[in-house]
Amino acid sequence: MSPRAIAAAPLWGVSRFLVGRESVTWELSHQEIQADVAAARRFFEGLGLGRGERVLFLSRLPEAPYFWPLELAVLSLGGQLSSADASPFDAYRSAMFLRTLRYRAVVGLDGAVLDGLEALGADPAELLRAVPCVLARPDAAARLEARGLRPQRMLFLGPALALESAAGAGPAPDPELWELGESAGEIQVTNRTPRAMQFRRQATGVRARIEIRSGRALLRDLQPSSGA
Amino acid sequence: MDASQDRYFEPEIETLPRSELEARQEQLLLELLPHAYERSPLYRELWSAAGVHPREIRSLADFRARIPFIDKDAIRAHRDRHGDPYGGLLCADPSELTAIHSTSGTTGDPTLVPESWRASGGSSAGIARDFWELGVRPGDRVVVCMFTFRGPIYTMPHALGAVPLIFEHSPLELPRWVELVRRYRPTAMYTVSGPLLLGLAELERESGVDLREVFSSFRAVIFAGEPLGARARENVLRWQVPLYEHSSAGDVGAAFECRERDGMHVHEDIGYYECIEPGARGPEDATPVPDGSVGELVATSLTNRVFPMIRYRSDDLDRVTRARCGCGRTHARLWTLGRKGDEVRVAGRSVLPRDVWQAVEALDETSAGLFQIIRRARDVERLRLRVGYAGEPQLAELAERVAASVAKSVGVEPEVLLVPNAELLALGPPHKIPRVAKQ
Repeated sequence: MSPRAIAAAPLWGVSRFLVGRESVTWELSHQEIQADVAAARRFFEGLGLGRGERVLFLSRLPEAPYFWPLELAVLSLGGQLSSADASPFDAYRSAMFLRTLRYRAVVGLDGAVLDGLEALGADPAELLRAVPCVLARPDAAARLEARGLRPQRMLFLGPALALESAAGAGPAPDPELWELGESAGEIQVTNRTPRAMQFRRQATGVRARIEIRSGRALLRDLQPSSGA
Repeated sequence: MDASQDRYFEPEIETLPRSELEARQEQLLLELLPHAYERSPLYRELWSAAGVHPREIRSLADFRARIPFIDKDAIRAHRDRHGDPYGGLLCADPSELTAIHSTSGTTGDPTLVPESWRASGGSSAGIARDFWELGVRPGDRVVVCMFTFRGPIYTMPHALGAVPLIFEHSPLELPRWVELVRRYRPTAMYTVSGPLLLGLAELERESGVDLREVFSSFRAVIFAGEPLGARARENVLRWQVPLYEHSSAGDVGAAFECRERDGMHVHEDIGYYECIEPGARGPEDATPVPDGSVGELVATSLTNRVFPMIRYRSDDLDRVTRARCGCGRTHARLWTLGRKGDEVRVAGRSVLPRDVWQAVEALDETSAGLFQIIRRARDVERLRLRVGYAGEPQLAELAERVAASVAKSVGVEPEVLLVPNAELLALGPPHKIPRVAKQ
């Protein structure tokens, strides 16, 4: 009664990334997802994520190519994950999770979720105060800082994901996977490892300054509405 | 062998004779009961209060006669009474969990669904069987158009060697969906809903897109969320969409129509399903309804050792048959009629949302079928409806026509409150709206 032997699909999946408001079709291989998991694992190890600790992921389904490697990395470290949509409607679910369970990190918080929480009469700062690491998208990070929190920033750079290792450090993509460039103030990305689609100076729609520190390219002076 | 001949993903289990299937269920249940009794405070409390111990249960008949029911209210009450976020149902050490998801929250606040992806059994295998029967094969592309709260549903096609095309469940995604369907020619889509079909009709009207051509590569498009209204059904026929219905099976598994379109299959090696008289209070007066009759679905998870539902009253009114399906599979099939909790009794007369649906859809301005029954209690003197409309109609006159249509169809004269469609759509998750509201 064992299932049939099924060969892996030729691609992991097809989704999209955004450059500004333009949607770009995005094909992904199984191999690059595994490379992204390894990078995400390095990030969470840097945060000190431990066995049994929980991470709440807030995303929309087409963002799966960014979030699935993060989720697999959490599982590989013995962590536990929860998911809710990054939408105003589903904010009640985020509120329920945050009121019911203790989370080591919340990843992907955006302005839509904050709008939804506020519409419910919930105080986002109160819900998040006990969470040691809040990885917020740019539109949410500024609002949380105005409420006295110290979120870390995350943003999408076209097909690359940039994460901030500590509040104020500046978000950066994993240097083993991506090389950053800049043209007329817009960040561009080039993949360093094989991917189903090759990106050479891919435009991202994100405007920022690149600062090299300890050999790592960090993003500084992010312009409003970049990469949210 | 082509897909029409090779219908079973796991032939032995899908076509297992009923007697062997029931023996397998009995064995799994007899293993599950002591496991749950030892680990779950809620089951221990409930079963002790009912004077039953797992060692006294030796057969399916004993199980049906003695094990108490649970429902969402019992889980929430235990959660609130004991401060246990898992409602007293967790049967694993919390450190063994890999994910903690949640129920939809359609009928109240969402409750936690803890999972261990190493230890939970079988539900993804069940879905693979369903998509295989519907014609998905290795190398195919499958549209996954969902939300995130159920977990990584986009990985489901991988079990069949297929490639997921990933979309948000939103009408705003439809232009991109058309473009990618034309490029990748997927064979299946999971899922489409009333709001998406409404969005497709609008896209067709505005852009003139040939949706019959767009849908031509699909072997199966899975419809879920709510019953399919008559207007939406007309469009589905016109676009030649190979639509198949899908529903949750008592929060224990999923139910999908097969190509016979003769009821939705459940997988009885994963869940044990009973269909009982809806008025039953406990096992002592729980009469099973005859095969093919309407009753309340009661579900037990047979393979989930982490968070097992045992005699869980789903509140769903279903018709269930265990007769062998034309597809050759032996597992039960069900037809969902509505939720028991959605029933309203108007001056003693039972009315369900499905009774109102067609009357609302029949009028052009309200053809989207968006409405809510407003009721503070189950028994009311007057049927009150909140109904969504499109365009800029003359509201008083439209309200009269809606009321007349409902009165003719349902036999009860309603009071009608009209609101723009967008206002009702904003109330719901992406794939449906709450059909019953307290105010």
